Amino acid sequence: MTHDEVRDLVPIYALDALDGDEELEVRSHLEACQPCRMLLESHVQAAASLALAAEPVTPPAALRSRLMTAVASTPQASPLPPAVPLRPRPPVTWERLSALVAVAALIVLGAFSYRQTRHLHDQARTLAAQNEIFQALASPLATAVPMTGTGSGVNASAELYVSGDKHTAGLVARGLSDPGKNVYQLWLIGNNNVPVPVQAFRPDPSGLALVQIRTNLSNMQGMAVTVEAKAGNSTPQGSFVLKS
Amino acid sequence: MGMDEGPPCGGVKILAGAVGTGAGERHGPNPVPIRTGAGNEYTMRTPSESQDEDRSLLQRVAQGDQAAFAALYDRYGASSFGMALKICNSRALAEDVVQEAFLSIWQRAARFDPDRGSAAAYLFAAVHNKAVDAVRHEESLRRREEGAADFTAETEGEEVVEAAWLGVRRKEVRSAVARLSPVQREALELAYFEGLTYSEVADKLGIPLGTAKTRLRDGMIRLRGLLPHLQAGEI
Repeated sequence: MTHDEVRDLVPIYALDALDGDEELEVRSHLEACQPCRMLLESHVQAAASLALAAEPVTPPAALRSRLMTAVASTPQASPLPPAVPLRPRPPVTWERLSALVAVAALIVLGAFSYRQTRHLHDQARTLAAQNEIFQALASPLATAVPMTGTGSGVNASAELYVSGDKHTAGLVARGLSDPGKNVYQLWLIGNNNVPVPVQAFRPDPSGLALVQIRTNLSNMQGMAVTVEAKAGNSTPQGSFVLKS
Repeated sequence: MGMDEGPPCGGVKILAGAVGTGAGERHGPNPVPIRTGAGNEYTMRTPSESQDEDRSLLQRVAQGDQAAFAALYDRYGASSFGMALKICNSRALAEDVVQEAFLSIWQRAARFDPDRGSAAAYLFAAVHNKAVDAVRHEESLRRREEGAADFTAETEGEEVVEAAWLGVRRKEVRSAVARLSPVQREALELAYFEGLTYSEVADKLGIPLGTAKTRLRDGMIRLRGLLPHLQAGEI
């Protein structure tokens, strides 16, 4: 499903009115596409408003009591990520070492983004998401795909770490120059050789960029990074800076 | 609470607890502050102030605050139950749906992102999702034949106590829905309140899939454009 096809389905997704397969495809795209997520948010707001079109009906008092009783004994998802469980260490491979580098890099990202987030709450959520990703990448089944710099990114290099189930990845890029008013855009090259936009990003002042990717990568033929005038282009308009 | 400085419009004064569907509401550029007194509580909360309160309630819920959870439920329980009832067409099923949805909000409150939208939308989306799952699992075709309730259908009249601003919002939503084209409204009703997927909407109306898609998509885009609170919001 292309970016534009997904955009068309986002309002219907917000209504919970997609069929199973399409819903999965849209969800998978949404995980990787920031512009589509923003579009979804506005439609979720509109769809939720429809709840008020129904006549309100006072629920029975017993429901409130049942709910409060249930709440008293229901644990909550912790806002802080659980500790990484200890397990027997598999043999150290190059891939695994790379994955561990990614883990370390993601922890650095956590500390870095902490300064930027306004709320501790946001930070906790970010860390929880990162935790999920680096757990996937720390698996011995994770693989690393090197990317080399080209054009204005000739001094840049990167690795893409892909989880064993090929649904999670992390891009660690370094040596990227400040794009000024432009952004860097990560593309997934599918088996039909069509680039699909994954995410726009900016490096930190040291030229380091860490991008978390959650999408189905099983048909991936490669990844590329271009420099674009704006985020949200559905096809590459700018020049390539990194290619796998 | 911003008693003395309401926003230029949308300020409402109403006896707290009255049904916010008309009497007592007054839109005006300069809401006059009303003294509060024991046993005679007045409120001038605006929808946006209430939205801030929702966010802080949900953030307290994320920290395990059961009183904040009860407050959220008291605020949105009737709207949620009304919506679930309309979809499920069964009180027992609607009760289960509301219980499950609110429990999931208790469990996942820490994942709510206030920058991404209102707490009320997060909550209604959870209830809607559970309600739709419930009716799809039930496969109650008979229910769908009989229960073709529309947006304006009244449920048996029991007085509902809700905040004044929620009544204001309700009027805004209904007026926006009324301004959709009849085919858009019909498609949205079938999808949202009968839990039909768009291909089921197409079947039911005897129209091509693409047409059902277009009606739903255009209806949503138009609805979004007609809702004043979404225009004022951050998105």
